[in-house]
Amino acid sequence: MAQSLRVWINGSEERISGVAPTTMLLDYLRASGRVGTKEGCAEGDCGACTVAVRGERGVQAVNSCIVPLGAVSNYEIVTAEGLVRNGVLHPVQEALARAGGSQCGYCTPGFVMSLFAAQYSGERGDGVLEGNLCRCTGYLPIREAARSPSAPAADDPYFTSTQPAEAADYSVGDEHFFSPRSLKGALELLSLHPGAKPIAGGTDVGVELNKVGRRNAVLVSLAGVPELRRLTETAAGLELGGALTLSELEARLGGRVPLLETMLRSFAARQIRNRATLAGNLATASPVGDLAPVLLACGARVKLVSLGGERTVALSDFFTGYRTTVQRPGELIASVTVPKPDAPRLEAVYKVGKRGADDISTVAAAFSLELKADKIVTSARLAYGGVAATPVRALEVEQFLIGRPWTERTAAEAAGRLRGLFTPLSDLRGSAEYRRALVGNLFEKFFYEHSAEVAA
Amino acid sequence: MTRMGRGIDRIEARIKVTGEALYTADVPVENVAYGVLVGSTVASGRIRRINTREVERMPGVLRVFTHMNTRYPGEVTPETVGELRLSFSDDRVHYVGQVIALVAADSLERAEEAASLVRAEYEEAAAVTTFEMGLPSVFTPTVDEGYVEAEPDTSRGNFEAAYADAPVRFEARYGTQKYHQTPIETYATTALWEDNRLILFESTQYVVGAQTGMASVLNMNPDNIHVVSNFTGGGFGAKGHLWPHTIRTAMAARELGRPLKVQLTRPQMQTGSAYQARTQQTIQLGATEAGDIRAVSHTNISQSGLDDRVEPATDLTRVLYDFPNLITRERLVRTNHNTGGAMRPPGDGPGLFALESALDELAHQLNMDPIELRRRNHADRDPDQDKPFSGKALLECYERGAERFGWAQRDPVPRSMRDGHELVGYGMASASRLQQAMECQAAVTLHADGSAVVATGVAEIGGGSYTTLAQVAAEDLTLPYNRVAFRGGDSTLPAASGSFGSMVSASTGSAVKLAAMDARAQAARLAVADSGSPLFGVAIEDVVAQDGRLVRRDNPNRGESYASILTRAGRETLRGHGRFVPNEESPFSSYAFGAQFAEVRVDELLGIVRVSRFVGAFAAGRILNEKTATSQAKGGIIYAIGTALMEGVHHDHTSGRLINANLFDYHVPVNADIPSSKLDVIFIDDGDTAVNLLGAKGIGEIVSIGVPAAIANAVFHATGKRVRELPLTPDKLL
Repeated sequence: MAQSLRVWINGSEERISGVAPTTMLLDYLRASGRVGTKEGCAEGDCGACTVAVRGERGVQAVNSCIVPLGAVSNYEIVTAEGLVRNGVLHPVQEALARAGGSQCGYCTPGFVMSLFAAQYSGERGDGVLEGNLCRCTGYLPIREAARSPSAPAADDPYFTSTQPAEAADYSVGDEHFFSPRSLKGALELLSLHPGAKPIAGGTDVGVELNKVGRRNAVLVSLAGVPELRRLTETAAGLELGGALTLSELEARLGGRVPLLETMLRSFAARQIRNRATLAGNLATASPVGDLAPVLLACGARVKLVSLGGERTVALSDFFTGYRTTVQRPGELIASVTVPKPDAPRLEAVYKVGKRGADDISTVAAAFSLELKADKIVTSARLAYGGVAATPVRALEVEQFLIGRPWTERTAAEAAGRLRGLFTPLSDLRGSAEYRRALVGNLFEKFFYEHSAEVAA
Repeated sequence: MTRMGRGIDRIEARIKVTGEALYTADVPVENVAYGVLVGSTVASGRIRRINTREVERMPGVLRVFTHMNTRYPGEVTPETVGELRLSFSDDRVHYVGQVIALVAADSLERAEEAASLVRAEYEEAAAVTTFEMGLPSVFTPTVDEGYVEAEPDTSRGNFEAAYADAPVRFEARYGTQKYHQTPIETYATTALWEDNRLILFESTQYVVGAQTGMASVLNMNPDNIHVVSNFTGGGFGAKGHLWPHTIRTAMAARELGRPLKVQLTRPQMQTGSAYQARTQQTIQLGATEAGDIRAVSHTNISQSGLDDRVEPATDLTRVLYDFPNLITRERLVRTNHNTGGAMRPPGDGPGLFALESALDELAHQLNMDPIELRRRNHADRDPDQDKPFSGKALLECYERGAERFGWAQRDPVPRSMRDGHELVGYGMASASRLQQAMECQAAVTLHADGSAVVATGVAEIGGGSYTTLAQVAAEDLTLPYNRVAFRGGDSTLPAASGSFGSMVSASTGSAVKLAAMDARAQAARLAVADSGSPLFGVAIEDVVAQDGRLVRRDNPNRGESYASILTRAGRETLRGHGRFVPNEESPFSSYAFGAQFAEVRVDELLGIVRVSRFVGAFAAGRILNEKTATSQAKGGIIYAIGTALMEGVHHDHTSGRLINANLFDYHVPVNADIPSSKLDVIFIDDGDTAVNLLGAKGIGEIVSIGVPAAIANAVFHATGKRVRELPLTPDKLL
């Protein structure tokens, strides 16, 4: 096991040893005097700690408060301090300062780095800012800065190495961060260390480490396992590797799974999507999940692998109860297959959150219908998150719809049945009554928004 | 050439975008130890035992501080300390999250680890955990030595008779939530001692308050306390006072003989500093058919915590309109929460949500335009103090705001405007804020190289004070702005006002102006007495500043620069001093006024409210820097969109524990909640020359006032549904 870890910070190579692999990147940066990067929440919710990293997945903005050091071995890291060259501000810094985008300034370095990283991804528009909170400016001047376009210079001085190296293992005492390079390697490590935790993007694990403590942690990273990072199109459908990040899916799906792509755009925020993975989102089995209802409506299947072999289950059979799944110890989600529809389907996805972005859903819904030429429903998948202990399909109402004409009356009657179908809980994001109403109303909205498509 | 009012970039913009600006937790301190706070897990009772010995044996742990080893040597002053009954005073627990232990260790990781293992045994007592639980014991507060500063009841005229006689009557109850300021910087403190001198790096809005408050509790001479706060990462009231953890950190550093640094976690913020108390307000209005409001009663019940404190929601009701017969009442319920405090905008924020919603309801009942109702009841003089206003341009705010907004396009019938499946609504509300002031000082030093330095210990919390105060001096001296440097955030500098109560520009700004005038006068005296000066022998009153020079009033070509005056006099520097003392005997009443206009879109099927357009028109005297002021105003409006649509602190009814003490569940607006570029701010000069030397009023608070009512009124107009309890969440509209 390697006892030291190599990173480049603002262009300088650094060998780290004696610092626990679960120490968060933010804490390391600050403890080593790079205090320009701030902590606002230690949970990946505010973006104050945003830095740009360049590793195997290219240049990305990440929340450094929930990225363990072990996950950035051989990475290049750039912080707001590193952007000034020969006393000259970087264009994004200049734009923010000019626009008055900094008031108290505490969130500013995080915004700077979100804007900086967006230059590399080519991302434009407000989506770049959704993962950063500001309480002073009301965002408008920051938005103005984000709209002044710029691109990385041809002789980019910020990332120095020609090709980033692969992540390496790193240990300190009893704490290990393994970065296996094969699926077999990952599975063997998990079986060898029974207490070990698989970690992909760490957007959940990182929060847990901050909250619960990190003694004697053994983590097995799936981020560099090639078998989990493939995206394969076959006659049957699209097989999505479990360790693909949500940003990668956004970039690579290319219109092939519109429902999923729509939901991905409103999933958390950029910094989270840069790290979070498809498998991670399913494995944590959140009752909301956001991606799960979409994949349920797509009729997706999950491939699980272990040293003993592999098996495939329908996603609708994957969740067994509140935060539980059929996944066994030592088993990993290898991929999710979205079947190719035999005929065009009428589809839509909805996310109702408590605010405009960067929140989990109060209720998420995804609908997929197949209609015959005479507008008779021949197949229906209606899936929801946030209304039961698991993401769930409205099987009874799906049955009701089959054979019926796609009319306002059918939609209204289905909506009525949907409102009584689940027994959601009340919480901060919405009362049980509100959620029940939404279950039906979203379906009505679906009808209104898509009836014209059918007529055409 | 005027140097004021211009949109000038902030002095500190550069170091804020590069990450060089040092906030409290960023300041490097040699040999610093780390402290982590442990909060009570019960809402009421006594601590029987804490496993401090066990925790102190853990590697790296230096000491565990609890009530067992704490004795405060001095007195707590409510002006500067946020809680009177300080944590660690005794074994009693009053709320969940009350600090019961401070664990100090040689590294942050070790301190965190050890703090997570602190266990307390409690003798639990019954607790009042929510407002509803406390409501049956509502009571009338009495003015005390703490945070109840004003008589709870006021009246004028004869409300009962006027209400009974009124042909049109209206009564309703309104509610606002418990809100947390949620600055992005969590509260941080680093304390170190040099002999008997305390150096305190502190996230604060009030450098002088931190110094004097600490001096009082520690029974020290304030001169032996040096408070430094270079930059504060947002306050909004959360950092206006000292909190128990800061005081204990300073004491612990002394006991350890080693610097100690403590930064609150995000969850600790909700119990470790102030919040805006929940209110329940009842308003009665009695009016004529023509809309003359003859009788008003406004009763506010606010939720109090450990110390009694009123969230003063009825103050503006006495001033804003000409209500001839009026009763206001402040009541309290006590709960097992920490002590409340100021949050932007204090008192008037919750208060005007109720009053301005009620006026909208009355306007609807009278079938009258909401602006017309307000015009009819306009107060030309302050009816509370019976004094003229030093400046009031509220009618112009209505007019220009309405024009910019397009209020004339409003069809008064609720549910009459729609866009596809979205219902569209227009709503408005008035805004106002008392102009507060505080005694303070500043120095302006001219240097022989022709530059100047402004020094005053003001905290820069985001409002742009360092910039606007430097502009004030530049204007007076007629120096280019880039020749004026600013030093602030330090208690060794002349004592500034607090950065709260919308008072920095007016109070500290006045002190800076006086200091610049003093420096200028001293330079003039040197010149007229110096035979080598072109101004030699000129009467002092005939010397004026122009283009960075002192010149003869009657011949601006005769004069010289500050640099040459100082150089010839052999002076490196010349220091002017300014001391601003508020005029307690002013014949005027001074307020800022405004009008807020909101357009909302409500998804009929989902109940989701979106603020699609907003216009705020404010008459707040002279605007010192258009750029920072506009940015602050827009930010304040959006801050209040959070209050209106999504925010609220929640406690578990049974245990009193905080349910959403994090940024995942305590929702504040994100970029996507902000109207896309359709947010306009208009500043109207009310020509107020009496309010202070600069004619400037504060805008930090007024911009947030009235926003929730304007939005709620727009939601009613869109949907026909009146929501009387904030926030306007979708479940209330389906």
